Amino acid sequence: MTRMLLVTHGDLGSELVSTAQLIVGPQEGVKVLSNKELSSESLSDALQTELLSYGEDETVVFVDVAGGSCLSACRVAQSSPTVVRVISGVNLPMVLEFFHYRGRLPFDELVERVLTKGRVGIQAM
Amino acid sequence: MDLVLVRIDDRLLHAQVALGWVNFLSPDLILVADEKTAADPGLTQLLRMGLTSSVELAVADIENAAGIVKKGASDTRKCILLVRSPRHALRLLDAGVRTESINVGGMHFAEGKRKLLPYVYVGRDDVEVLEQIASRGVKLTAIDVPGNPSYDLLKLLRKGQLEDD
Repeated sequence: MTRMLLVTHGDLGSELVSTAQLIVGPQEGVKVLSNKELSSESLSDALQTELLSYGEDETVVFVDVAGGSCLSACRVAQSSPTVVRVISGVNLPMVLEFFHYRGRLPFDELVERVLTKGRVGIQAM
Repeated sequence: MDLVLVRIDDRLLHAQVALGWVNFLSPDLILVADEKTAADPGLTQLLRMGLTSSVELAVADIENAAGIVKKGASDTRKCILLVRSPRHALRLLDAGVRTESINVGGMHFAEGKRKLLPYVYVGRDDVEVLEQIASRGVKLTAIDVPGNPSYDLLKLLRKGQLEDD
């Protein structure tokens, strides 16, 4: 099963996951890291430790905002043995789409599906 | 060059700066004075991703960054200047950069450091260097994002005061 790793500011990541679980039920293979009170190095180290513990599991790393310390810290993912994609701009529709389609789609298609959902999930009424 | 903010932040350019301070100060330029970042074009590209296109980004080591500031002395563009630690800030001053105040916006947790604020932890070396900076007549103010309370850092240091989250 493809893993989800959220790297966000404040409590956004844990709130996104708990809210998504209210909608689609409990989920496994999910981990949240916050940058709260951490230096860039400490956050990078935490991320690297986490990814190393996944062995060769496929992982999608979700980050809240591009240009922040969370995305910068994700550069360590490039040298990870894990099959990993980093996506910024995470929103609730993306998280729900990920939970629904992981295990049903190959990794690359899952990532495309999540990216598309993130965009079309934004609509003006 | 109008230095509208000189900031010590171990995260350098990140969301609090790229969104919070940029929206508040509308700078023309962000200058990251940091060897490690200057030697890493991939990281520079990543930092640019989060910036609105009207803001220019320059990354240089401390000496070259000081050169950019001094050369642009008569230039009226608004600049945010970022360094990762008090020691880097002191080197900027040594290299001839003049500023009335320095914002301490991020010195995050590390083993053995004392907490002054949720975003300011200091070790013995930090205290020494911050005192040196202050002794040159530079005011040190701790504030993370615009609109939040700001603190006279020297007072916090000397009181050894602990602030709760």
